[in-house]
Amino acid sequence: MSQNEVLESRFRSFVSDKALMVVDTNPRALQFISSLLTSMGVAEKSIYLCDSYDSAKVDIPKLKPSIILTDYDLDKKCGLNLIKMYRSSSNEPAQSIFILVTANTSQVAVARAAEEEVEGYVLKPFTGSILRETIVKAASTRFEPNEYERLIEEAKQLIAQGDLKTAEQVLETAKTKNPQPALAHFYLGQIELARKDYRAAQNRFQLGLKANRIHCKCLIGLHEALLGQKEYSEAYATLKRFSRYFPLEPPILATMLKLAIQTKTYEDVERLFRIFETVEEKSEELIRYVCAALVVCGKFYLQKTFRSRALELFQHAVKTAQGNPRILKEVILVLAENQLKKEAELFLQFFPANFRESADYFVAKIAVTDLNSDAKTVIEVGKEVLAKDVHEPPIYSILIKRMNETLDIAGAQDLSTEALKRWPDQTERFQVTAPERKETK
Amino acid sequence: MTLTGDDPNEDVLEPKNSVSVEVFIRLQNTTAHTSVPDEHRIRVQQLLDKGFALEVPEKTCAVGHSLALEVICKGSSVGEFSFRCTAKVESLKNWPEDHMDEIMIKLVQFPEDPWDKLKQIFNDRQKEIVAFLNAAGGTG
Repeated sequence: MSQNEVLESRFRSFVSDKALMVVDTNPRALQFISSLLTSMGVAEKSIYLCDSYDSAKVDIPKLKPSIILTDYDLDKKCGLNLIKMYRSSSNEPAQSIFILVTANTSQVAVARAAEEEVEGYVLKPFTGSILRETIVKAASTRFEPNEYERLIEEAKQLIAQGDLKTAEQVLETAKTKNPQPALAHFYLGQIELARKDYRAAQNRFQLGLKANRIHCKCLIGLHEALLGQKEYSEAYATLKRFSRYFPLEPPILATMLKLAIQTKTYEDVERLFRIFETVEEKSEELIRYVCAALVVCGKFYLQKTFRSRALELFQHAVKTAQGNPRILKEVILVLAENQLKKEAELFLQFFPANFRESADYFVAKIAVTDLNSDAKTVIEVGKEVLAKDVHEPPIYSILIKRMNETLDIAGAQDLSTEALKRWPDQTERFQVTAPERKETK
Repeated sequence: MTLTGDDPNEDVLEPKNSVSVEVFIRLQNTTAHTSVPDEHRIRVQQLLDKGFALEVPEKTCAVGHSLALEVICKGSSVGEFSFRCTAKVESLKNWPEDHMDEIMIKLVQFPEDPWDKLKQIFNDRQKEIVAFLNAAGGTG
């Protein structure tokens, strides 16, 4: 018997007591794959066909198939999204096999599949015996794992049980069984992360990346190890490297935005925002991060006198925030700081009607009034706001500044005392400046 | 050089490639003098050694009919290209619920270079994908 025939024979034994599922919205593709599986020795009664994402979602936990073959594009849903549920509902997740069979050849789809560690990715239109070979090869890692795969699996179980020392020994042995043992280094790095030895973890992940430059897990692991050491620039560079090969899922995008601001890599914020615009499901947290990053970046651009670029970012922030009054307030405060009267007034008009009695609106209004009016008017408006029981640091700092100008030192002092009670860590902001006495002769 | 061994000055925040390679077919039934000019109504199911398995609107053709095809390939790294060929219908299965026929066709007259190029594009992309999966997250 040839090696292929031996493998196929072992495959038949392997699947003899297992359920297989095929998911595709095209009935002809379903039949083609089903016929192929029966020609490979799979019993017809063991093959379950699902013609939609929703029916697969219901059937997977019920039937617990050992092998799933699915298209990536299932009408408007993504077949890859079934993988997490599949693995979590499986009786033996380590034995589960998930293969994509799809016309989607885009690098985005492939990179996502790599992140999820699918066992196979077969292109449509079907060519030759690729599908058959891929199924057998994927299954052979289960019924005939090589020594390296077996040791990695053993180590994973030991780590899950908390036996890190033994896992470490197993992984050190695993390393000798593969010329490029990136995955072994990854799990050794995970052990160091669990021990909070970030430097050791960093070394491990770097060794993994030396074996394999684009190892997804090692890249993320390295990022975590660098964050643990507060090496923000390097952590950010690692994520940038990651983003070159893999699409940015929202949690990583949010982290990148934070790090872009932290490391003052403002020029990346606009690029990250463009990526954000393509994200389908935008969580509130991600929106918050994006808006905050856009405002900070806009502030930086104003400092560099890139006014139109800054205003564009502020517009993006306000539009993304969809009327969030806090973001509007922040933008207006930055504009007011930079004496941009017209722009501040314009953004004040963007406050939705239902937020015009909010604290954020009153703060923004005072900031705009401060730009346009004399001290007496500003103080009057400010006192009206305080009377509505709206207390925010910018209101107090503006009023104190204007009372200083009008030499109402007692008034300024009272406000300063009140402000420092509320915000004791902001002494500089609420300073009362004693008026300069001009010497007369 | 960063810890990952890359040049930090490289523009690494590139938009991802979300383009897929696609094959479209326009078809003329030279026996029955009918045609399917809209390539979006024909789906390529299999790329055979010298032919295709296609999904076509039902009653487009019958077994033994001769077809004239325009094959268009878009989205590959070599750019868009197309070629014309003739083929014969070898088998047909009707799917009445979808009003589709599944046909196997064998190429009769075809330009070898673009045909080989078409098969090579998918073979190469398949190999690239396997290599990427192994590198990015496989057991290596």
